Amino acid sequence: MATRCSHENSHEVGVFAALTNSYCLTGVGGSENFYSVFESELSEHIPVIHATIAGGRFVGRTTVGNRRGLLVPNTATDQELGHLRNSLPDSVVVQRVEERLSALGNIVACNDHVALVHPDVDRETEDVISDVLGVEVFRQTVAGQALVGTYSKFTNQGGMVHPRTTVEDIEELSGLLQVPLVAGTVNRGSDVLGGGMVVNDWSAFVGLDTTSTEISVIESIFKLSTGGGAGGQRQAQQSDIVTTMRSSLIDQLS
Amino acid sequence: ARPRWAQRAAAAGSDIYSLPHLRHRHCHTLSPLTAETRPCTYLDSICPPVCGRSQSSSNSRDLLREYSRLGPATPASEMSAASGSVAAVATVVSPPARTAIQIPCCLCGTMIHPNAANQCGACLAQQFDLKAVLQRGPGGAHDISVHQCRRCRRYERPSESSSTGRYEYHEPESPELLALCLKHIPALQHSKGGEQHAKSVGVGRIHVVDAMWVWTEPHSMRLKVRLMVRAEVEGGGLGAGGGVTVQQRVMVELVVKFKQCAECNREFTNRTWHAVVQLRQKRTDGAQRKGLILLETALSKNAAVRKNVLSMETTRHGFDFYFLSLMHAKVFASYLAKVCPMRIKTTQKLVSSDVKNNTANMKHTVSCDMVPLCRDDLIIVDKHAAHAGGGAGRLSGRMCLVNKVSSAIQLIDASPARSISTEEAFAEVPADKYWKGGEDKSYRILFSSKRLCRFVVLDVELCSGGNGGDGRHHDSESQSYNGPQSGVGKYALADVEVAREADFGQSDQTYRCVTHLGHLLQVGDIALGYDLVNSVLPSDAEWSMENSLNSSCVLPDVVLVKKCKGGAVESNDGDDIEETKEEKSKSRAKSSGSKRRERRRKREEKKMKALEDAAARMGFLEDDGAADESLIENDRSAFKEELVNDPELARELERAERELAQVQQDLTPQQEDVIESEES
Repeated sequence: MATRCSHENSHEVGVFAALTNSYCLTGVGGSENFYSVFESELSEHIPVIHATIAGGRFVGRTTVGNRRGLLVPNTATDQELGHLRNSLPDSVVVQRVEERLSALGNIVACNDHVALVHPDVDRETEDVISDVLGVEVFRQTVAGQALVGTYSKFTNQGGMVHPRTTVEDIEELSGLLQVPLVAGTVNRGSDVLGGGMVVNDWSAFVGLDTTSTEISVIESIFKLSTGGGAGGQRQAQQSDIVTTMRSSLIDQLS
Repeated sequence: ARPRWAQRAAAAGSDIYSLPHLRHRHCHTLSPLTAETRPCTYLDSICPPVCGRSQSSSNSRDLLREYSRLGPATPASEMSAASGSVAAVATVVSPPARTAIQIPCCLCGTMIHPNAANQCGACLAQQFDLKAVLQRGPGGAHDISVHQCRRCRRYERPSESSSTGRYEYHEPESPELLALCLKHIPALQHSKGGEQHAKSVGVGRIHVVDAMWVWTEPHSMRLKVRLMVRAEVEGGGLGAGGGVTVQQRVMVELVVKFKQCAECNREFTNRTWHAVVQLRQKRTDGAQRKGLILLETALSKNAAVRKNVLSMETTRHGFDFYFLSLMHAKVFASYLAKVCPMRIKTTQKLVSSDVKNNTANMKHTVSCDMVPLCRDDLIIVDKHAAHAGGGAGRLSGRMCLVNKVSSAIQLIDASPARSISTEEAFAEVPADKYWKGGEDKSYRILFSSKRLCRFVVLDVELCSGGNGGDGRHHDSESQSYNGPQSGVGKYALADVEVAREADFGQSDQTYRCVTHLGHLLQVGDIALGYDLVNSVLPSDAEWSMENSLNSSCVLPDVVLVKKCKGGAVESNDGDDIEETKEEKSKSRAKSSGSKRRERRRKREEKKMKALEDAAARMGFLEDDGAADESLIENDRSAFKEELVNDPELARELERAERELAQVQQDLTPQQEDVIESEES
């Protein structure tokens, strides 16, 4: 179920929040509206935690994690680290990573089984990732971009990559990740997927600018749609969207 | 010479590189209808959903991908050499063929290739309509208008500095006119802030990629230009993406409106002239005004003197020249005075006055009265003229012939005594002496050149007393003046015996006289002169003949004026000329009936003309402007003939022209500054 929200007039939700299957982090903002959106959706299932990293609210881009663990950069202070350890459930391991590229959310894209990392990441970091998160790590680029965390987003159900990824690349990646992938956009044609949305196995949050077409694509590929029990079996066919929904969309727009 | 990758692609069978370089060189799309690849003929991100590739995204890696698609068999090393790009190439060994994926347009869901906006062309066009931006007039007006002058059909070029621009002539559908139209579109003017509206819509700077004409009816007052423009638009929510370049073909319509250019404006208002020079030579009607015509011819050859003249009018006795300022008029008048003797008087008339500002709008009149004496006039110099200070020196109280009229009047004694020397027969009267001495009364014209009569020279005998100045002893009469190098003086006194040409064969009537043309005449020549014996003079001329002459003056029978060149030249009167012209121009009448009609018509015309001439002579046609025209036309044609026959006249004309040209040079340094300081 994809929800549109915004953080203090910015539609880049993925910058200010991190979402996994077992917890959710949100940055500290002036008002609690952003937090309350997540809280209303998720709090009965998973803890929703306020957090800051290095005093900033961009927790989505500086941290990376899945249901087993959370990695924070070396810029995170001890208090923040302690706060995270306290707030998160015990099953989640919080680990600080000494890495030159400290925006971990940008350089690592992972789900519960597989992770893609920036090709220039240190060997130790790669080991830490595979240990803490319990994933298989691949150094890959997406559509020629090294920042895999920014230009791709995937969960256990499916994934979305930068719109300029070629078909062969998608096939290759899909084979690596073992999830279906699709090229798409978020926030009215923006190709910054990691910053534009946060997603887990049953929910997604996107920016306010996202168009219905994009939401339908997101819902189909991440298998979020609650419409009927056939949602899980339905293939993420873009042509379905086009054929069934397009006529109504055009009526609305024209 | 194409680049190597283009040549290889051409060899591989694709010909998209023959398209002009602005098109998508690198784009090679998969046609949805057939499975074959075809070149992309759409430009940039605005294109319909066949190909949405934007040029702005073509970095070296993309290009490499495209090239590899074209030639799968090409080895990588050659390709890397051809593309010449960065180290990324070195890592690619043999890339497989790659096809771009299609994503749904984020707004409407049509499958498009990704572009910078990730929207299909239709959605982009909806959001950023460059046509509305370009079609706005200056300051948000509905129309873009180009100004054209109604009369001279020139287009106005807008200038940044002044409110009115320069007017230039352009052919319709010419590139210069296209450039002018582009200058008029405010959205394209980067410097003048015409893109305010564009910025508010969200469109950045608009560049023109291509422009061409769309044909419109010639008098429809519309100019249609088809522009290919490129603009950077800020995405509605593109975040880090930003800056989509949109290219669109837009037709802009400009309205042509009439606006009077400054030059036509000046010509239309009748309050433009502020000074007039009235050039007059008052002679009795029918007398030729050689001086005036000479001046007119000289002026027509010299454009520099005339450059300040706004317009010219012809009146009965002369011309009116209109000027913008008094200074111009005065300068013009001073030139004329250098060429001919004239009296200049300046008067002004008040048009309007502003008491508070202590200014007045005046019109000035500079009247230039030319001396009415012309060449070859026979005049009497009053003996009383000398008392008033205007005498002619030795020639006061005698009958004289006017030889030359330039800045001073040169007179020759009409009946010189034999004993005087050649130089003594001449006198110069400077212009102011003429006016001081009582003008018409003192210098009364007896004969003008219309009354010249032809004489045949029978005998020439040089006066010995007059040749003393030469220092050589001439005993032969056959010395003649052949030009400046002939070794003899131009004029010499001689005793000649002449007979009228009309009398030549018939009667034995001959006349003797003393003339100054001694070295020019030879036996058998035809000379032109005035026949005093057989003529009747007007009353005032008779009176002055009795009273104004000195006692020592002897009235001659005949006064010879000049030699006639080429004795067999016939004198035409006006009728003959017209008749011959008419005969030549009209086609021969075929039938006798039409011939009769022609003859009758010609006779009628002749009668009418004779009547008109008589009426003019008697003064009935005083107020007829047409008569003035015909008068001056006759004068001009007669002048032209004389010019042909008379080398002296031609020389005078040349001298006048030279004077004017010389005077013009004098103007340039000094007077210009004076004029400019006057005007400023």
